[in-house]
Amino acid sequence: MISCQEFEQRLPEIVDGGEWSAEQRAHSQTCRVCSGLVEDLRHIAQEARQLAASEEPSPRVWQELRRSLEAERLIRPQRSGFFEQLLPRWKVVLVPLAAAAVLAAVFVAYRSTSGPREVVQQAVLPQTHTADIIALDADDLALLASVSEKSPAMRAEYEKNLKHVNAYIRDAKDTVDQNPTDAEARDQLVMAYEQKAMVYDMAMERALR
Amino acid sequence: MQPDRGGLTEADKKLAGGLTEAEAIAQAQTGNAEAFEALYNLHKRRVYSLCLRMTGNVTTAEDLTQEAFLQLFRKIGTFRGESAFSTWLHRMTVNVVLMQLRKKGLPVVSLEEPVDGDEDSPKRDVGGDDLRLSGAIDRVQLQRAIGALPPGYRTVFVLHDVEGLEHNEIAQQIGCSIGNSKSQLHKARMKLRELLKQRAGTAK
Repeated sequence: MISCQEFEQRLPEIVDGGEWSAEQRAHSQTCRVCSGLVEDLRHIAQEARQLAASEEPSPRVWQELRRSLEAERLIRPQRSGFFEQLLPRWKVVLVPLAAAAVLAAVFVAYRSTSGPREVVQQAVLPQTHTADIIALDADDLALLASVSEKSPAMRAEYEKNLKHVNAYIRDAKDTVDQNPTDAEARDQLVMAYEQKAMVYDMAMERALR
Repeated sequence: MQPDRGGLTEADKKLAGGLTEAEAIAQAQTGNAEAFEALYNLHKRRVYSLCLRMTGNVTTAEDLTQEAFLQLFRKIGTFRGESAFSTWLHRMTVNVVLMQLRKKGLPVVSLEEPVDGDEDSPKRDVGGDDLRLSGAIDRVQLQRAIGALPPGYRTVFVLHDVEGLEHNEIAQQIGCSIGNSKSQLHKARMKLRELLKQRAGTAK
């Protein structure tokens, strides 16, 4: 017959569903203390499991997290108030313009190798999109066709992103036209083109997977 | 693929706007703010609860929650779905909390065997009227008792009994042996039993 001390030495395995030895079983049937101990420890473990995901953080956590995500450009900033968040850093306008143009050119060259399939893709664009096509140029449409091919569920999201960034570019261009010497306006146009380059980059990465 | 221990059913994983978690992840990878927020809302309680249980401090827990999600979202572009998203997030949260505990110089796991070996012996209860924890354990009392545990015991108890990690996973994340993890867990449970009985006795 084992002692309570010997019984307790193997307690962790028993509490977590391990095999009882004959001696342990015999001891627990005769010792109220040890059998009660096993039940209590199991009860504590079971109740503890209910505590997972039982607390809620305050709203400030998301607010600060979102600010960090925007500051690190992990999420697209909102149109309103975005200009006030721009860093007053000068960038050459032509660099991101060239980047977007190069990406678009590479993409068009990639698509041109697919031959008739490209024509079919454009032909199946639903007519309901006709009025919106004004906001998208030929390269944008070709990009969306490629996204549709690889990830149909993402097409709507990319279309929305492209229209958004094209509107952003258009507005930024208007601002620069009205204020050609405004450095901040030029910064905004640079960032608008950078955003478009980023959308192309992500879409091409998806298409080339 | 690791099983999802987030406790979320497929219905739970439907986010605002009818998105599935997988769709929200894909959209977050393109920088969609609403997708980020949806993922945050889906997992915030589990992450925050873990941080709170392990640190015992609301402000610290909120800061660590923010840090865990920020680290996750920075790397979301690399997520390829080989494991459950919640498992990935959970592992990251544990790392964030453990780094915080180490930075504060708090022991993550007690490596010393306690000298008071008899303290946890059942013999102490022989002859007592209330050998057992009477009735259901009050959840608030259990939370308070967990908060009163020494940091090393609390870490292993929270990771194993609250969060459901196995000893080999705990050992890997904390940097201790499996045997040490089991030993700490047992001592944590024994200590909790003692604390709960004391409080029940005080209440009477």
